[in-house]
Amino acid sequence: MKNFKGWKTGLLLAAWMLVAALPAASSKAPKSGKLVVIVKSGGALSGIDSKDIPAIYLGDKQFENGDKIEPLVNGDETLSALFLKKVLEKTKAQYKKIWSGKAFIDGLSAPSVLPDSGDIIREVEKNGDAIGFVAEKDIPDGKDLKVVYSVDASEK
Amino acid sequence: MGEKLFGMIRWGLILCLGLSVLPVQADTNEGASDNSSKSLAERVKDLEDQLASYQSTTDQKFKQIHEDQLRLHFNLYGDAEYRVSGPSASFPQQNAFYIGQTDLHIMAQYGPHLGAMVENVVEFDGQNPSIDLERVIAYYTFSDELRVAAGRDHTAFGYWNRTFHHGDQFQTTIDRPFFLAFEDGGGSDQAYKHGGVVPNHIVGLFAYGKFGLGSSSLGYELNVGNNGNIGLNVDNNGNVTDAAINFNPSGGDNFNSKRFAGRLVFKPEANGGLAIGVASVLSHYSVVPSGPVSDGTPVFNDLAQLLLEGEVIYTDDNFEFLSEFYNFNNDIGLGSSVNGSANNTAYYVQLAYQATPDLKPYVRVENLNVDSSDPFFLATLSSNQTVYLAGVRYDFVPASSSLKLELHLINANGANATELATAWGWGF
Repeated sequence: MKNFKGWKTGLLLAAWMLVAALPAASSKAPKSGKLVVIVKSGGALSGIDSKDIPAIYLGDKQFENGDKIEPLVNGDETLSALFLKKVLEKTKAQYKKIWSGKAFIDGLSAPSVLPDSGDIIREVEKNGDAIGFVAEKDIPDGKDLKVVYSVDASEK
Repeated sequence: MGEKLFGMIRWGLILCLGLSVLPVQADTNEGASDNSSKSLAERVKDLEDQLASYQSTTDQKFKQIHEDQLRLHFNLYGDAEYRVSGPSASFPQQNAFYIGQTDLHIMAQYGPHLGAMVENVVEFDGQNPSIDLERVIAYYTFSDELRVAAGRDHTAFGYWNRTFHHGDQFQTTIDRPFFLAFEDGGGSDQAYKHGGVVPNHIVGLFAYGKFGLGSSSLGYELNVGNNGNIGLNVDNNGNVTDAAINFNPSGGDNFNSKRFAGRLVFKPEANGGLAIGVASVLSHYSVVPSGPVSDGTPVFNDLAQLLLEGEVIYTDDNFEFLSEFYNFNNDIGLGSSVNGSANNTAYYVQLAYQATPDLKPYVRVENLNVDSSDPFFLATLSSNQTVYLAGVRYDFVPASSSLKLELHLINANGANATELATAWGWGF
């Protein structure tokens, strides 16, 4: 009986040490489910007013302090649909109709579409005139980016 | 007791150490397997080559938005129509299919500031197709507040004239308000389509821009360009059979003075749907007959006209309210060789509602009221006319193709006519 009791204590101690030897769980808190509009930190658009974002993406504002703004659309269908709905308050058909009119009346080109969030992030980091939207959870740490607008990424 | 406890602890420590070493041992086993085929330096070199290839591919992908890249866009617009028409008392009297204007629209953009736009329209005058260079513009955009352009564009007046060009797919209705019809009637070979009474196009120099005023905005458009003339087709008996405000697409002006046009548009909410605008166009006209005129149609070499326009527009995703009011003052002097009248007006009011995402009913009233002795309107063969229009638009392919059905009740100088019109429009 005495031997059994000591053996159990030893096992408990070993288990505790085993748990202590395991890699620590990630110390980073999980990123929120948000859609964010990003620009290059310190770039030409870093001081932009978030109220200008719809005007930029609908062709009513093309320049900021003399620099031509490069709006980028995320090729991820879910993200772009969310952006259209929550930021521009337009359906895809309405957005297309607006840009068809802008092309026909003013000779403007619709924003470029890049395949995914990674491409958006890379281009915004390189180009101070670029503005794009991604899921916040897709932004790696240490990127030279500034979030100028965010919205809850839920469908509601 | 103490020795036994120490023994248990010792075995526990041994167990812990053994378990913690196992994953490392597994990695070491895998690493030993890789090292057997490639050295570390070779593996680093492979990774560097892959990264360089990926970056090159990425740069190619992004090249389209770099400053030194030319972007070209082609668009095609057109419509096909079927109309049934006749005097109201004996409607219907005739019916026919028509081809509307077929519009090839080309946009070019080089870098962030320089661009050009060309709009070529194929029209049918009777049996003969012709290609009209309706818009050709080169522009340089300095900022949102200033874009300078030159070439041939739509004259700076009126929401309709500045918004709806030659692709009917963009406008809710089949036709423009009749007094805003293109100078040559649109060339779609329809008895109903007569040339308008306004100088839709101008060849010259232009400036456009928009200023932000807090939450509001003020847009402007300025033109200086050539005047036009009124071309008369005269038959062998000296009777004028047709008239149209003519333009020489490649330029040329019989007058030393130029045409000036300017428009201001104020939006109380820059992102909102309400816009209030005013415009003015100062022109000189001469009459150019194709032969001797003997039916009394005035032929003059200088009539100065001041066109004043005001507009109240509201558009959003559900509603469309368009209204424009015009005054044609043909009695301003300025070297005119004939005396005209200041009492000539025109207006239209259009209301549309997006009942469902693809169905939009609409109504419109259009009116031209002129002084019967005014030489400008006599020369353009224009008289009082009112049109009541009701229709519905079905966008069966959103933003690309639509079907329209309209009923027109026309009163032209006291004579009533009716027309039922359908159109299939498209834009790519």
